[in-house]
Amino acid sequence: MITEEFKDIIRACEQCGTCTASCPTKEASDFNIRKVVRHLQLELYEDKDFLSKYPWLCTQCYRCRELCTEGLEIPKLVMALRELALKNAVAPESVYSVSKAIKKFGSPYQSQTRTKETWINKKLGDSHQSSDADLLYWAGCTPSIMAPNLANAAVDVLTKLDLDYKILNNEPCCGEPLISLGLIDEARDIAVKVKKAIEEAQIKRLVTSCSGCYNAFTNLYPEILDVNFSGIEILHISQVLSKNMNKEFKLEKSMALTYHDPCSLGRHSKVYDAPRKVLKSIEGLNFVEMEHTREFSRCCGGGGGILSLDYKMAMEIANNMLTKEILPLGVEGLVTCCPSCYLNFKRTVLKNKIPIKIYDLSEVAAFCGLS
Amino acid sequence: MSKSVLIIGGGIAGIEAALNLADYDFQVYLVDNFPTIGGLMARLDKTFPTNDCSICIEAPKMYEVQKNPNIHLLTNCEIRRVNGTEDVFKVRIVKKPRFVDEEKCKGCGKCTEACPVSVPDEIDNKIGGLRKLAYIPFPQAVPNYYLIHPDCRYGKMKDEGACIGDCIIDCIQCRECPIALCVKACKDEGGDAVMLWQREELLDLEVNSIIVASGIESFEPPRGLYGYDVYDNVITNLQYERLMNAGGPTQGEIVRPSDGAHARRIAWVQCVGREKREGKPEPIPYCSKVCCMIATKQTIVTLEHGADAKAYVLHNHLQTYGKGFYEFYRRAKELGVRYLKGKPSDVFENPKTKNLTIRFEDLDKGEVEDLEIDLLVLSTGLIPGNSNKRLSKILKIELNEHGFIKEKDPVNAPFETNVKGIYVCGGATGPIDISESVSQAIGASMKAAIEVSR
Repeated sequence: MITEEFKDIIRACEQCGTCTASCPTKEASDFNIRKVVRHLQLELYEDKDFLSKYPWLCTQCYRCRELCTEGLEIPKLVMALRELALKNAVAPESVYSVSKAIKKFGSPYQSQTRTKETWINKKLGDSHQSSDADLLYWAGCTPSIMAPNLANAAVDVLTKLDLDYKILNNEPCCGEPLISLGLIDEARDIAVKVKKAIEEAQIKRLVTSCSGCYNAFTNLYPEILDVNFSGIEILHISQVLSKNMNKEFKLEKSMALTYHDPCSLGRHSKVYDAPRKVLKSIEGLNFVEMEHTREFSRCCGGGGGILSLDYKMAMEIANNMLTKEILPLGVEGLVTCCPSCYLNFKRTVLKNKIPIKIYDLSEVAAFCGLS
Repeated sequence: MSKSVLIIGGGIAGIEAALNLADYDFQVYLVDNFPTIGGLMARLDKTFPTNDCSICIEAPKMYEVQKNPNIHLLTNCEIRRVNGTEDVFKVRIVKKPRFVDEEKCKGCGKCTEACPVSVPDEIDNKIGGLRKLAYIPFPQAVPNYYLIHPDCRYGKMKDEGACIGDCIIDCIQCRECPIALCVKACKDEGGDAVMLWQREELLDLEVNSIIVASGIESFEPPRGLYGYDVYDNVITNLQYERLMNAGGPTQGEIVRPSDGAHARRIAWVQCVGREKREGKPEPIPYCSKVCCMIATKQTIVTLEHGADAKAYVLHNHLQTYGKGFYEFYRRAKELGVRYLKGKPSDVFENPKTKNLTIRFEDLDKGEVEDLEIDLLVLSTGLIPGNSNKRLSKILKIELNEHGFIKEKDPVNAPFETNVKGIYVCGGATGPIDISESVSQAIGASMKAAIEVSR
């Protein structure tokens, strides 16, 4: 909702256009975030054509916030507009189908053939899986359903690091897609259930492969939903890896790889160094940085629910980034830490036949031999 | 006995105040912690809006200061302590070693010629400026004495060729260094001015009034802002001013730091220093007001240097606040300078050509554009001088919320500080241009004169 706090942001905007120039969506659509703020400066909050279209094009990558001269929380304005659009019942249809899928299947993906159990069953009986473990591996919906290779790689990594883990048999969706689509009340109901499920597992640490889940647990739950985990340390798999990289990981065939900062892990959660430390400490891995990194890294286009709302646009943004930013680096592959980025890049690479391999960080660590 | 006034800072404001007070037969002590007077203005190429040569205006004033029997020039000096109030201030001044005997130096420059070591210049290093260890800040320096940074002592720069002999005794015992090339060169000229072991001296004065004219500084962009310090061809407006300057390290050739080629397409980004960035210095919260006219001046001079040059100014709000400033801006537009409304989000460098591409939203079109350029100039704002804090402690004068010296009341009591008998003028009060500095100096010196004569 447009609160007084947001009105202060709107008033403070100088209309310099830095946000628009930094916006990934601008490259693939007529979305102009500066004009959105201008629209709000003119107090045209209730314009239905505006509400039904523009708030739903933002990838919530937070790049504009980092580059804004005044440091304004522009992405939060978009979130408020999404809520307003839902209130006025002018949100796109796909928002509701995501919400329905989460209610019905426990994940935003409406798939009955591929479920979370598919990969979990395969991993049952793994040597390091133990019901007494104080570490819970939280796969997340996208790794377990859409890219089970990521979840498999993550547990392989835990085994390699000699860490005992347990898995929830009926892992629910964390509700992050609902928060980023503006369905805050629905997300809060889910968060309460998630909190209960996690606390019942009696664990000290939760490790996840999904930077969206990580962002939800560490930032969105306490800040937006007022749900806090007490006594449980939330970790991303990259952080676990970087802390335990004392063993020598080694690539059999050397490779030049670059790293893409996922928005939800980077700008949202400020985890920039852990994945880099992992990549730099793998022997045989030639780590190449992109031109724009860390808080100024570009967005793959798949965030903010865009994968569900308009995946074609997400692929166009990813294609721009792959061809203009990454191909000139001359690397063999791109490493990321987020299943949404992974999925979006992978689809784009396959469709447009771009000669770059896409890896998740745990995949790279998993196919390392230990010397 | 005639009354005396201490002026802290020998920039254009301090010079103007000193000349005024000296005309009224006051004894003036002009103190500058730099080895020469002239301040920031002496480093500039042109002044706006007339595009007059900066040093050509200032140098005659500097020589007048030197010639005037009522003005006592104390360069390379710092104020250490001030006691007293209202009409008598006891001032202790530290004269920092110059490593040259001022009474013996004739300003011939043989020491510079002899010095084998070149180091990056403090101001011009980014654009390739080098100086010797024995040097003069600029040719028109007043007083015209050389100075030495004896970093070569104790055999530290033997590899660079600074020492020629293997001495039997330690430098610390000898403290003369008769074999140093600069010492020898000076002696060959019949002088004996070089003193590689010189100590600081203390001077005590009694004055009746003090004028603070300690000046202003240019903001240094943090590393990475618009590619500064990451890409070679991103420089600040002060560095660009030195590029344009015939007395600068490139003799006025506008060339790129990366390859020394002439820059044909140059863009200015305004309001640099206003950006709020996490983990970086706090943004400048005020408008420095002069940078728009500095950029306009620099574009006009650039187009005069080369008619085929292209100049772009990326701005959001253009300040044309003074007399003749709007006409100055119009002149730049007529000459073909393109004023683009919008601020860049990203700067890319082509690793081969070192050309830059800036991405910005052209607000007149509402479209994102990529502009390829040879050189990017960051129009940085002005910030309080780093001596302001120290001076405020020593003189017990207040600073305002930005760190500039606070005027008692900008309307009713301008140029006065909260301490009776201490006045302020020039950049120490906030970001102002040269002509305003001069007016302020006249105002402050007259206020001091009236008060002291009472």
